Amino acid sequence: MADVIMPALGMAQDTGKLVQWMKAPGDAISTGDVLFEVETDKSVMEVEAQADGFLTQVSASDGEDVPVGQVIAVISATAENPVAAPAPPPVAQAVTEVVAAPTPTAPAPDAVTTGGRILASPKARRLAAQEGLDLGQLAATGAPMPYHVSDLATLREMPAAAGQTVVMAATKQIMARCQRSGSRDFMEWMQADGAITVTTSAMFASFASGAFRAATETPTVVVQVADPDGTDIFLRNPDFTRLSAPVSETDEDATFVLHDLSDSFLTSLRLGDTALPTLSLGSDGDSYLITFEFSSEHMDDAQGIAFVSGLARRLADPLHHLV
Amino acid sequence: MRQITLSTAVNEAIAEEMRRDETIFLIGEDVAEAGTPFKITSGLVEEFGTDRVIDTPIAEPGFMGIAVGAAMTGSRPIVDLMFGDFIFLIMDQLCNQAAKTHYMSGGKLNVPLVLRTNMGATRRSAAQHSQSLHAIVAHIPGLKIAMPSSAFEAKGLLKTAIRDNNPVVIFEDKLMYQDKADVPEGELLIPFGVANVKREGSDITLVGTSSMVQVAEKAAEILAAEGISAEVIDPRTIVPLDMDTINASVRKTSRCIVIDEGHQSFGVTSEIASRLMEESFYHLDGPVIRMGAMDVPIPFSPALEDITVPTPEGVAANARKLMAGEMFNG
Repeated sequence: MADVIMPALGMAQDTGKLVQWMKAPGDAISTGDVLFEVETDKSVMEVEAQADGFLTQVSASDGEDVPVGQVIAVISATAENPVAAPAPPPVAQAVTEVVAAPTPTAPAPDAVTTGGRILASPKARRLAAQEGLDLGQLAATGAPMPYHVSDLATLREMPAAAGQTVVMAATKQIMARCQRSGSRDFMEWMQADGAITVTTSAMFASFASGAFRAATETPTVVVQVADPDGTDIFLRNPDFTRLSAPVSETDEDATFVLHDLSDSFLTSLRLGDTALPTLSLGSDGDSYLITFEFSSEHMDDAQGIAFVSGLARRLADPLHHLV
Repeated sequence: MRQITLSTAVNEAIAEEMRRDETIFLIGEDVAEAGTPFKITSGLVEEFGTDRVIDTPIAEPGFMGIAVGAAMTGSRPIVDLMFGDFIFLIMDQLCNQAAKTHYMSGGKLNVPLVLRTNMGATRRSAAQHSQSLHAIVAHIPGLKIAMPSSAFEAKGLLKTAIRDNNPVVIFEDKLMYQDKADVPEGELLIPFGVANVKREGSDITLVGTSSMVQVAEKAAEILAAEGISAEVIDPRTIVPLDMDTINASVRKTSRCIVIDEGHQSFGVTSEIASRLMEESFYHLDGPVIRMGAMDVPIPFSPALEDITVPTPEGVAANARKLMAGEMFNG
């Protein structure tokens, strides 16, 4: 059984117009048969079947605009409508262009000779790498280059291609609670004694980096300080820098993600398809709430427990961080 | 607040500073009796006399050299160079003497000199009186370069320049002399190296200098009607240049167009675009686009001159291309 989805054929394309089905519900299908025609802003394309079986569960009709990525039919082993069940990853569909652009005499505006390279903006590349997305998958659909951040939305909705590294979801969680007064006194002392303003995010990054290093013996720790309203900051070994000095940002891959939620009602956050261990620091009255999510790919259970315990110790009494 | 023209703002800044510090004097062609062709310095000779408001012969290298020497020996001259195009005549006095004296004397000598001059095309003044040559002097270390975008900045930047102990060149757009803006009476000092976010936006950053700030603001209006939110930034001084503000904006919007009335090649737009590429590369979702005057002598023909310099419609068109992710192939 394989899903038939509305493919993404154009840059920043949200929907595709299903021009007409070339097969009727219940028809026998062979791989390579033309299933339907789809119209984008530039052309009409034929979409071929990539599996043998029978066309069932047809949910879109001729002339309908369908969101990209939506399942519009299923190729089943039998002609009957099977019970809807979680489908396996759908098979990628090959597309063939059959109708040229409306003005064939004009040069295609996005015609780019790439010599096999994928053309993408620096920001689109960075975000794709951070989210474990493969721009090559977008190129394989024939979507015109160059790719921008807006094209990543299409890519996120595409099923993972065979052989592509599957993003490991965090499967383990450790939670801890510690007193805030130690950190608060420490920040007030820094302010009063040296007129040094220490932000909670900077302190969290430094303490977490130190605890992570002690627990896992990782030589280089890159903390991705998440900012849901702006751009995440990547700090390299923030525990090696004095809290009063700015920490150098880095382009290296992050070791873990840090969500500073201490000034919000949230206590734990894990957004997107990040493959990284994720640390959330929330607050509850006079306590910090620490939530750490990770998988066995990242570290073993003892290291995870040592990390969270070490961080809680440092937050409760910052002297532990200096020792 | 009261509104005054840019030329009145300049006149007021000079008068206020000359009242405050009697080592300041004004020198240049037609600054006294005629008040300059743009009537900027009218009335000053009546208040301060011909010893402090000095008309010179048509001899730019001479009066610039006099001013540099006076600055080294305790005076604070304000030099009026009638057209920015004449800066080529005083390059040695400005770039080899004024810019380097503090450095080469081991700090024993200062050159607290302000050179006021102008820039800007579309006045039908032809190729020798329409150039915007600020990038040429911005290239020389030791000179600070201010570019007011309204009467407010004209007064605040000029007063700061006069109090600076180093040579400062101010380029005023000659088409903006009659433009009015809110300007406070009395003290107004705008620090150098602090950009002004004229309009906040989220989709694209438009960095404009001098009159190109107005072009950027008009483009932002056009784009707003189309649902594109443009942020407009006025650096106010290009030396020193406030890259912190520009980088922060571009890291937010991921897209940028730099607009300046100097020729596009080897100019201010190229410098800002290069720094953005170096400092914010991984935050860019498209190329940084430069928009300057075409690389041709400014034409006298009005039909040709008007299309030589950036326009709001041209900026908006490039912004749409960036938003659509289209390629710029030169």
